[in-house]
Amino acid sequence: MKTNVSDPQAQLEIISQTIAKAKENLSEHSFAFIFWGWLVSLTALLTYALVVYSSLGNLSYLAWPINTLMGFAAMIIYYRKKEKKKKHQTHVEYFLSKLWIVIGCVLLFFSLTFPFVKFNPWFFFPIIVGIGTAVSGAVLKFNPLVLGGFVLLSFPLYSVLVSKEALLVLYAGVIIVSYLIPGYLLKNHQS
Amino acid sequence: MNPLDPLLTTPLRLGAMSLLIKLKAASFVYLKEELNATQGNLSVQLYKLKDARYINIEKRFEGSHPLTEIKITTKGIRAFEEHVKNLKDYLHLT
Repeated sequence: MKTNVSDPQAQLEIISQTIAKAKENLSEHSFAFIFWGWLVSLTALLTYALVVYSSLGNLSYLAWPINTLMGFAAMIIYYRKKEKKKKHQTHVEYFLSKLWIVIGCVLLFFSLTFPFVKFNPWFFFPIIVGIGTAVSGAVLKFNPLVLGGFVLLSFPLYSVLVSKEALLVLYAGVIIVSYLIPGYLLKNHQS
Repeated sequence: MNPLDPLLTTPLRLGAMSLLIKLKAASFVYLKEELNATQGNLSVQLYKLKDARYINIEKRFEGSHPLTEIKITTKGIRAFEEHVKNLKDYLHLT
């Protein structure tokens, strides 16, 4: 490598070539959406099966805090391992990690207090998760995630059209549309 | 026309700054691999940028492994942006 480059054109080429190397790898962001997509949609279907076909009654809803806790534990282990191998962090990665840590703490807190505190989870959870998903999509400039975020954000509006039990099946479908499909599209995205 | 910043006319330093401007933080190993540089040369060039307060170099342990983490400073961002602007001025791109 030359010790000095006085040609401005050559310098601009070095800058553009090097900046291209630090481009955001979108597929790296897919894991969380795929993981939570499967976990939440299967939890919703499991809860539906327990509510409809078992005698557990309201205890069926305990599947949510249990699975959420297991999900958080798995995420912490996954990202700790990933962090150790990681050699750099982009501004987008930093912002998204902080965003989801805050959202995760809010969701975890309300998941654990849900059996004891009266609030409508079908209003609260989709909106919080929808904000995170839409913002993530906007920051990553990935429209399927933005769309998924808005499908979640508007859940309280169209969910009034179905029965209490059917809400679980509807939510599973919404998570497939807003998490799983964008997650897999993100995984296969060529940057 | 403003003169070009002599600290940023060396390819390795310019390359390092171009990577760091896009990143929150980078390890020494990452810069070495991406810039295809030798450890000694990269180290010398990075310390010149550090002396000019364009970057921060932090050494710490990640578990039992030593880690050198490099971040661009506000002064470094300003210098880099000014440098790019000057380059474009030279080429009449602005």
